[in-house]
Formats: sequence, structure tokens, C-alpha cells
Amino acid sequence: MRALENSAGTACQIVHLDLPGEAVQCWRSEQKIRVVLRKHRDVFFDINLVKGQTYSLESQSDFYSPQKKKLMKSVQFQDGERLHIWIGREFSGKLTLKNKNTILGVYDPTKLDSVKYDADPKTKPEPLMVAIGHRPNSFTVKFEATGQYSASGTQPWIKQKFDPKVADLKNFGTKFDYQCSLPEPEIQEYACITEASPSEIRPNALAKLNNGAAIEGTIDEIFLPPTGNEKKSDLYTSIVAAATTIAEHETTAVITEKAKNLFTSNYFKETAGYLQENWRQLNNLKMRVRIEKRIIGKYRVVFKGKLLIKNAATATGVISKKMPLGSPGSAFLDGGFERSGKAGFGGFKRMVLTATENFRSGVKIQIIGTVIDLIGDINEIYLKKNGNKDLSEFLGRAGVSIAKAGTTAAIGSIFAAGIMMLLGMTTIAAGLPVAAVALLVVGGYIGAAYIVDAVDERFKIKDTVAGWAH
Amino acid sequence: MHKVRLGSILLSLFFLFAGSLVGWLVGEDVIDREKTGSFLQFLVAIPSAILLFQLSIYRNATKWLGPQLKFLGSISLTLAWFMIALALPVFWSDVVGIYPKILTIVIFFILCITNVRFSKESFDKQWAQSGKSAFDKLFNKETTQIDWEKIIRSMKHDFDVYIPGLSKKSGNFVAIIAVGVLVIGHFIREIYPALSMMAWAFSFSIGASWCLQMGAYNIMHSQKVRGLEREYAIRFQAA
Repeated sequence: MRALENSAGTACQIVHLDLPGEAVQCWRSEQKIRVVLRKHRDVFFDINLVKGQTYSLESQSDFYSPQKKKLMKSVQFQDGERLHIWIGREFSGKLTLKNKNTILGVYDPTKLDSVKYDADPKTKPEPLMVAIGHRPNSFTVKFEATGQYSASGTQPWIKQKFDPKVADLKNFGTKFDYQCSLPEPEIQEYACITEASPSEIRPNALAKLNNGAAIEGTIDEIFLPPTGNEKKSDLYTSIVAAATTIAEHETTAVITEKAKNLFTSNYFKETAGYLQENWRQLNNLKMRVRIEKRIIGKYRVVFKGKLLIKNAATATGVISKKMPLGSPGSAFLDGGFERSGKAGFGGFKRMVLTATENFRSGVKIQIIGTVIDLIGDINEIYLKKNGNKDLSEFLGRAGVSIAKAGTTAAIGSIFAAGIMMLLGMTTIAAGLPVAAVALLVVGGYIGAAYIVDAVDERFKIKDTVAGWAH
Repeated sequence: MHKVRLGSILLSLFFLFAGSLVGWLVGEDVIDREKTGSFLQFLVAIPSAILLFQLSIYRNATKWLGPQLKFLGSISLTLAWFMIALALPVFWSDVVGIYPKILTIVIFFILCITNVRFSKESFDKQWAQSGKSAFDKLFNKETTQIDWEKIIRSMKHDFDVYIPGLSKKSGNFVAIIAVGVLVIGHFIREIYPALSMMAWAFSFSIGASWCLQMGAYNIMHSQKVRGLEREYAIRFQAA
């Protein structure tokens, strides 16, 4: 459909076309005519079902083939060939995909993208893609001098495999990110293969290999350190490259900084003697070596390395631990009851159950506080100059301190249970970082401690009990 | 998704004023007597404002989806207040100088603003990625009911501790440190009350901003629901 406008200022008719080759239709008049081609919608068909098959795309309305440069109502294409057509923003027909006489699909662009686009010629309608089947990857891993074993080259490939739209639609004006809906694969381990000559392997390891056994261990356990006199060795080059790759991936934990700096330094990568000097440092990397068999004078070596970041996360325990509320993982904070609850236990009963479970955690937190309180009691009775050194008074005070700790834990547990209830309301279907939830729960225990202290101070409980004991 | 009931508002009421009570008890140790009046006014005014807001949308929240999401989002204000109240006395105390106070407030506001912004950006991205298509699948023009929890689930949002400039893992690491600082602050509270409150101000700034991030995410959902209701001239019932 053509939009017809009358521009009074210029006294000319503006006629909109949606596709090249469309006929210009306008009112007959003496005015000049200005033809404006509006941006089209790109549509792709990417069918990968049976190699050698021919498919046809048909429509009752015209579409434009940029390849054949003409308006068409039907076009044929091969399996594995990506068909690209243009349609106008007011395309009203349906696109029928056929294989011989079998209809594979009928697609209505106005339903696939129901947005009503304005008349502005610059507005680009959202591109569409119909992808059926899996396109074989033409990707080959490229090893470069700067990162032979780098994962960065492989990740875009993995993403593209999951979602081919990423690579293509972004070039055709899509406003969507089309990020892969699956989580980015976390690479936990690298493996690379190289060869080693017998002169580079330690004699004891070599003896095992010659007996037909596969060996596995750290680099230092299996290989001799470089002497600096040997000719250029593939093995030592590979060791440096693998160690650098494992170390240079972003790591945020402080404990890995030293190792990271060493292995990612240019000295390490470029200076032959540096590997020799820091040979033992390789043991800081969790890099394992496995040698399985001999291939014509040399041994095939596999390096396997865990990323430092993974090790750092393991070392610091719960850095990124997340759990949904009410799951077994969150039981130490919410008793595992919050969301699902136990059958028949809702509201207040559930809160009591949670509080009971939390009480154990509360007692654990309060143990430290109780020790500090007891030290204070010892100071009051035995260490102060005017302390009366009376064991009964100490036991009385200590008893109140322990009772206070228990009360604080109990009240804190109720706070914690309530906090978990509130959290359950505001966070729906989400995993929560343990540390953040712990901040809230510990806040509850602190609140409880202040309330118990205030009651003790107000009613002088400790002093009264100590007086009785004395 | 949680239904909004009277119990929800009572629980919120309890925590709002429990926070104020604890804040008051903490303040007794460090605030001069002549300043207690303004401190008390603050301890009453803020939770009252939050409670009034919750009360004002309570009736609608029991019936309609948009207000329900807004109410659930406002619960994070209750949690944030419960934490902030513990560190609040530091701002009325003369023991702490003006510069640490200003620094704490600036850090707190930066964390809050960036967390709310982070929430909005995450929401927009996730809505475009999966929320919209989940809505299209679940929406039926014939009925005013929609399983909005399914839409939220499809968006797979995790509430990470967000600290501008730090990665997700570093942010969580800082949160672990904050828990440690909080516990240490708890045990030195009688010896160095002002220091322990500064420690809490650090930890609770992180915690409270995280709560606001959660609240903002719910508000984003609420606004989206409102937009869709206008678009389809419909009003969704509370889930």
C-alpha cells in the first residue's frame, strides 16, 4: 500500500514505496511527484533439514529478492542456503514454506511482529528469521601466536551455535539483543595437546611410559626443567602458553594476584630463562599433565588446567553461592520452609518452624558473644582491683550471660524468620546471594541483642542475680 | 507469588517499628540528650511514611496485579529500613566527625541509585529477551487473569549484590566481608559503639541498596503491567 501525502509548502505529492520495483500510484495532478522508498523488513529462511532438498517460498503478496533484484511471489532455494527476502512494512500476505507439495510452515509477518510501524521512511521494521534444523559449523579453531589455547575465540562460536540470530540479525536493524538465552558456558578446564621428546621427560616417568603405563602428574613431576641450552622446544613453548592462558583470565580474588602477575608477565612469555628460574612456580597452577602413548619418537602430551578464577572461588567458599528461598541450600537461614512450607503449615506456624530452625544458627552466632560476656564477667569479679573474687557471684553472672545469649538467639531467630518471610514476598522465583541474605539475618540478631541488653539494663537482672548469688 | 493479606501488612508494621525500636536503643549509647527529639521524630516519620504508602495501596493490592507487585516491592523498603535504623544513630552522634558522616551518606546514595538503575536495566533487557514472549504465550484476551509468576520465572533474574565498578563475584565477595564487619561490629558495640555503628553503616549500606534493587525490580514489573493494561484496555487480577 502506498502512502499519499500532500506537502503544501513544496506543492508536490510525496508517494511512499515499500519495495524497489513497485509501481508508483498517485493522484493525477499538475503537482510534482516525489517518490520515497521506505525501509523494508528483512526476512530470512535458514533451513537445514536434508542436504540436497529444494524448498519453495510462496506468497500471494509481492516480496523482493535482493539476490535476483526483482519483485516475486515465489522463490526456490536449497537446503543449507540462507534465503533472504525483503517485504514491505504493510505486507499483508502470508509466507508459505514448502518442500515439493508438503507445506512446512505458514508465516504471517504481521503476527510474528505485531508492532504497527509509523509512516516515517527511516523506521526500520524488525527483521525476522525462520531457522529450522541445525546448520553444520564451518568454524575451525584458530590458534594464534598470542593465544594458542585461548577460550575467547571459541565462545562466540558456542554462542552462535546456540543462537544463529546473534550473528546475523544485528546487521539488519534488530532492536533486540538476541543474547543467548542459555547461560554463558562456564569453562572450567582447559586442555591442550603437544608433543614431548624423551629427553624432556624425567627418567622415572620415562621408565613407566616404556612399560606401557600412562602417567599423570604435575609438570614438575613429569618433565625436566629447561636447561637453557636446548634448541627451541615445542613442549616448553606449550607449557608457557598454557600457563599464561590459564592465569590471564580475569580473576578478582586477591590470593591469585601473585600467580597471575607471574604467569601473565611478558618476561614469562618472552624470556627463555624465566621459565627455567620459575619452573617450580608452575606448581601453583592446577595444571595436570597426562602422557598416554608414544608416537614415532615423541610422546603425546595432554595439559589440563583449571582456571584460577575457579580455584579462587573454591578457596573463598561461598563467594557466589546462590539459593532460592526454601531450598535445602538456604535451610541454614530459613529452615528450608519459607516458600514451600510443610504441608498444612502456613503463615504463623511456618514462621515458628523457621524460627526454631534458625535458633541453632542464632546460638552459634551467640557463642562468640557469650565468650566475650564471660570474659567481661571474669574481669568484673577477678581481675578488677575492687573485684570480690567470689565464685558464686561469677557463676551467677555467667549464668545470666548464657541465658542472655540464649534469649538473644531465640529473639534473633524470630527476627530472622520474619525477615525470610518478607524476603520471600519481595523476591519471586529468584536465587539470592547467601552473603546478602546473611546481612539481613545477622542484622536481626544484632537487633535482638540490643533488646535483650536493654531489658537487662532496665531491670538490672545480671546485678540482681549476682547479688543473690553473692 | 505471595498474596497480599492483612498478615503481610502486620509483618511489615512489626519490622518497621522493631527497626525504629532497635535504632532508638542503639542511639541511647551515642546520642546526646538534646538531640534525641529530632532522632525520635525521624525514627517515627520514615516508617510511618512507608506504612502509609503500603496502607494506601493495600486494598487494590489484594485485588489487582499491578498494585500487588507494587506492594510486594514496597516490602523491600521495610527490610531496608530495618537495617538502616541500626546504623542511623551515627548521624546524630557527636562522636563521629562530619566528614565520615558525609562520606557514608554519599556512598549510601550512590549504592542506592546505581542499584535501582541496575535493576531497571536488567528488567528492560530480560523483558525484551524472554519476558515479552512469555507474556504473549500466557496472555489470553478472554480473561483478566495471568500467571505473572511464570513470566517472572521466565526472566530468570538473580538479585546479585551490585557495587558499581565491581564484577558480580567481587560484589559478592564484598558482601561476605560486610557480614564479617557486621559481626565484628556486634561484638565491639559496648567498647566502641561509634565504631561499631560505622561498621554497620558500611554493611547495611550494601544490604539496604540490595533491598532497594529488589524493590525496584518489582516496581518495574508493576509499571509493565500498567502499560500492558493500558495497551489491551484490561485490568489484570491479583495473582
